[in-house]
Amino acid sequence: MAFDKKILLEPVSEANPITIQILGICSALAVTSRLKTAVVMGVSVIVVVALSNVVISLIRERIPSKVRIIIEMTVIATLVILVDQFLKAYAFQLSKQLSVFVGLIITNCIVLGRLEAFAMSNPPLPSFLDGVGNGVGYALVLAVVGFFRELLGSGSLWGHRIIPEPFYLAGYADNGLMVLAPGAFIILSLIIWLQRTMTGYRED
Amino acid sequence: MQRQGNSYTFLFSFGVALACALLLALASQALRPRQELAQEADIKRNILQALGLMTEAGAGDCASRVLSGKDCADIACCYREKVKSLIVDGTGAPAKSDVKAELIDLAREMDKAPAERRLPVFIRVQDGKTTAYCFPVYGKGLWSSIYGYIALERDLETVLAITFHKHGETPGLGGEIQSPEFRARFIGKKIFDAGKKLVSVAVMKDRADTSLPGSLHQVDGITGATLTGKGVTALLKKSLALYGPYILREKKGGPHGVR
Amino acid sequence: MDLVNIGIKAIFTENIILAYFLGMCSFLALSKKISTSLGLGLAVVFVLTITAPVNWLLNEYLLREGALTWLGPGFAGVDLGFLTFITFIAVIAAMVQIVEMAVEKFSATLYNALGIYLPLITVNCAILGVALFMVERRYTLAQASVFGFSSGLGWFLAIVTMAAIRHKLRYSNIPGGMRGLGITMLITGLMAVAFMIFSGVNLGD
Repeated sequence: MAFDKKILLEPVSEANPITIQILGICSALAVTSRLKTAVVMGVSVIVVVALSNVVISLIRERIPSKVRIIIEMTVIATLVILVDQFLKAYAFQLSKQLSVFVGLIITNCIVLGRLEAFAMSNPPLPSFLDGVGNGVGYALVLAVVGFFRELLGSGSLWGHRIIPEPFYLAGYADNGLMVLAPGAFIILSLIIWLQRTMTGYRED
Repeated sequence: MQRQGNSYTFLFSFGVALACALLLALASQALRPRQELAQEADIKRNILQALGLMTEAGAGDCASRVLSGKDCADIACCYREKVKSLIVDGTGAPAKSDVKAELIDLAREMDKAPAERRLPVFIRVQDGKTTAYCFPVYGKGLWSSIYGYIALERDLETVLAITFHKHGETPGLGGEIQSPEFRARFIGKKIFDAGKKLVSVAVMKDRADTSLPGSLHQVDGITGATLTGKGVTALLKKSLALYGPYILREKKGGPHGVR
Repeated sequence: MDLVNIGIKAIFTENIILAYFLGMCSFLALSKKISTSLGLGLAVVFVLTITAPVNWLLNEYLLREGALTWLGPGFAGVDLGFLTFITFIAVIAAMVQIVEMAVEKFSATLYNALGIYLPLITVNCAILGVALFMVERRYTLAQASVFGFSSGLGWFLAIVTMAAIRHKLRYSNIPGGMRGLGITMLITGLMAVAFMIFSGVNLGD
């Protein structure tokens, strides 16, 4: 069991897909200006990574190498569409807010990256754990970025106002830059700095 | 068969594609009724909210909380009782359409010639009397198409409420047009000026100067979302202009409508 | 004027990477050298210019609700919208493959210059992103084509600029944890601020 735990936990911190492996920053940062959308996006990614890992791992010995990438993309796209359809049916409001960004999970490099690096050469159970671990590591970073962007940019969390009214009267103002794209880049770079200093990871 | 052979590759790809397509078609079919329910409930909820029959939290005359099968029925039921929908053409005369009033896509109607347009009107009815009007609005924001509803009081001049239910503006910036604070700024504004001209309501770049008489037709903008504000100004003007003939006819107490 | 406006927006104010974060992976990984970033940038422009109109046609005549009406009135109610993602990604993968084969056949120099980056474009979020935005914003065929080309150009501009900055950065003294990804992110943020200056630019309505 110790082995399995490591597969699950490593990607959350030491091998975090975003801060260390530089994967999958693409599609999801745009939804981090609100904590709620960031969390829903994170959960969707966890589901897609974990399930696609399992599916590919199950058929890994039968996939012809020539069309490997195409087959993987098909499986990912199918799962993403399923997630999208479920969101549309059961969380209509949220799915409207996420708009095209759910679809963009397809091209999220984490998903394809994990399939290539792990699921193609491991049995289903470890693949599942690897998928969950990477998904959680990813979702965590999204949530942290979303937390700071919403708090500093709009003075609220999960849609509820956090910064009290007297602060505004005393001259405090929301930092508009935080809700814009640059805010996400800057917060993420600070998180990367902090995380890499803590784990001691270095790049040349 | 060889794993790397052409026929195997072909068969395998075909199998995977077939399996995926089947799964998707199945899921799409299974979830479609639920999605349509959610979508229609969403449209009706927006109309109800714009007409002041339901608050954001789900209170009000049409009390409804989370979206469940039962609540959908509640929304539908409340809607049936309190809201009358009718269709008019671009000249303000009543018209007929194959599509339900709720499902008319304003974007498509805008491209047609005035007489060809089919415009939905939603009327809040209380004890057989009209108490408010609601029109859909549509236009382009900064990034995306914005859809919403504007509700006018019985005088067809004063804004009762406004909602934006579909847009792809930057969350937290332009996306704030959806927030209750921003929408509240429209309440009580007039769409007609003193000369009885349809002037619509404009979103200012910054604050509307309340000392000027024009501020009756202006609302404060959202910081950092000037361009979305401009879009909202334009879409209100354009959409209300579509309804101009109907509004004028109705104000004169035209021969039709549910009175 | 409308088309020019869409073009200007896609290149500057709504730059696909600096405003939407799309195409970050290859942007971060391949902006170390100017020559590779040039090659990749060109390849992205090329693929986007082709896939945007092709996907538009597919969506208009095959996927969206009522798109199959041309087969007969009985098909008016058919909505294949749930196949949008999978069709788009398949078209992109196929296009990239075709482009790769064509380039290999007709220009060996270009093929060698692009190397492995050409197949990688399939998983570049910018390509799928453009296709999805184009549907979301209901562009016409002409608008979608311009949008595709200009988005590619915007991406090209961003990655080449970034490569140039990183080239200079090699001689800077950066704190250990910030080296590599961290500082690149920070600079991307500053670049995004710089590109926002253009947001006042609006030609026509």
